[in-house]
Amino acid sequence: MRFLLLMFLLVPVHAPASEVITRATANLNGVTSPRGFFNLTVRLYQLRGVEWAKYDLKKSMITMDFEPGVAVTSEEIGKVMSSAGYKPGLVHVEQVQKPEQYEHRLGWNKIKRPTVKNPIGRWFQVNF
Amino acid sequence: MQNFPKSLILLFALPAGALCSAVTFVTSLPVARDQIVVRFNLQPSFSTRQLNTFQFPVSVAYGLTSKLGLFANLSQGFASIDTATPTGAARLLNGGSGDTGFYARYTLYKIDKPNSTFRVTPLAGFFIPTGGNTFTFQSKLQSKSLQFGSGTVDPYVGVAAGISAKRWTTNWDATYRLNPLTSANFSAGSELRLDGQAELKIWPITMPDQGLPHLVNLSLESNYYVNRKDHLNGVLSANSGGRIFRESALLQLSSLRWQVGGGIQIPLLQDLNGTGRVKQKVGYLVFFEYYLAAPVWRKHG
Repeated sequence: MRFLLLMFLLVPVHAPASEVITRATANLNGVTSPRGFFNLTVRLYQLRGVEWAKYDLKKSMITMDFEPGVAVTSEEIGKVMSSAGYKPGLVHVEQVQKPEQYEHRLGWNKIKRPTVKNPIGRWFQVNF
Repeated sequence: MQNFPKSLILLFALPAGALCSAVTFVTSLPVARDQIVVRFNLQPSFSTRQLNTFQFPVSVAYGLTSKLGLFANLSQGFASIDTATPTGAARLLNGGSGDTGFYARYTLYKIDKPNSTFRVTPLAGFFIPTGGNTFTFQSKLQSKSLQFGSGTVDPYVGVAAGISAKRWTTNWDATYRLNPLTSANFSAGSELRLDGQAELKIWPITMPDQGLPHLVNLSLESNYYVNRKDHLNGVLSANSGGRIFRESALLQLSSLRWQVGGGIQIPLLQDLNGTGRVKQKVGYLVFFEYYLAAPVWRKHG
């Protein structure tokens, strides 16, 4: 019995490892209001694999977490900022452990991604 | 503006004209590429001679490109006024759509800095005559206060500019609307407008390090109008035209997807041609604005 107990204590318990994801942060020149961030939200759902976006008004900074396995480059992020009408500042891309939860009070927003093929249905899914 | 102190004492006012657009000017409304902004307004206004107007303008803006925005201003409402008749006082009421304005705005010059942005945006367009301009009482064509349209296609040009910083925003515009003479010999009189706005984020007092809090803004807006004389039955109306200066104070609550606000508008100056003109006492402004992603029709970029 003691042997079994010893074995139980020695065998490592494998907790499910959190996934590694791509995180991109970008400074946004010219974004000084919540509306300014919406202008980017309009574009973000067109960027492949963005799952969550964090808006920090004080720093004029956006943080984007991508789905596991999806990579992105600084150039792609910069292009999205430019197409929204803003001059992209410093863009940083890194690999991080996927957070266990995303808190809305800290600025995290789930990016809506349309799932239907009908263009009218897609538009409603994005906006409402 | 030399008459300004005198006018302050008199606190004279003009009625909010039926041709007015959204609260209080939308030429500086920011709109990004592939974004739609819809703003619903409620504008009650109360004047002498019991002229009461209730306007419900709707402004729609669409970002065709990051520099080119397309705008539509729809207007509807009703107005009522006391008028003298041989048999005593009567109350006239008219309602319906106003003229619909369309214009394009182009960002000609911009400076984007980490904590501020500056833009200069010329605009040009026209108003189409969707509003009535033939309201008569006892066979007499009534004045602009009770007409909702100009009756002609009216060219509209101007320039808007603005600076947005972390804590404050300021916008200005100068616009001119040419109201030609209709076939019925009516003209609402062309209008030059100069508008200015200063907005301060008053809540939260200290911006949190993270997140996107709802903001409470205090907005002070000034509107200066120079109206040329109206044409009534083919002749210039002596009792029309003049200069008006209004000041508005609004509180606004803004979030990622919407903005709502309300306030009061006080006329500070009325330098009106003629005698016995109807003058505004006070106006109120309420609006709700919602942002939408436009349907994406491009395959790339």
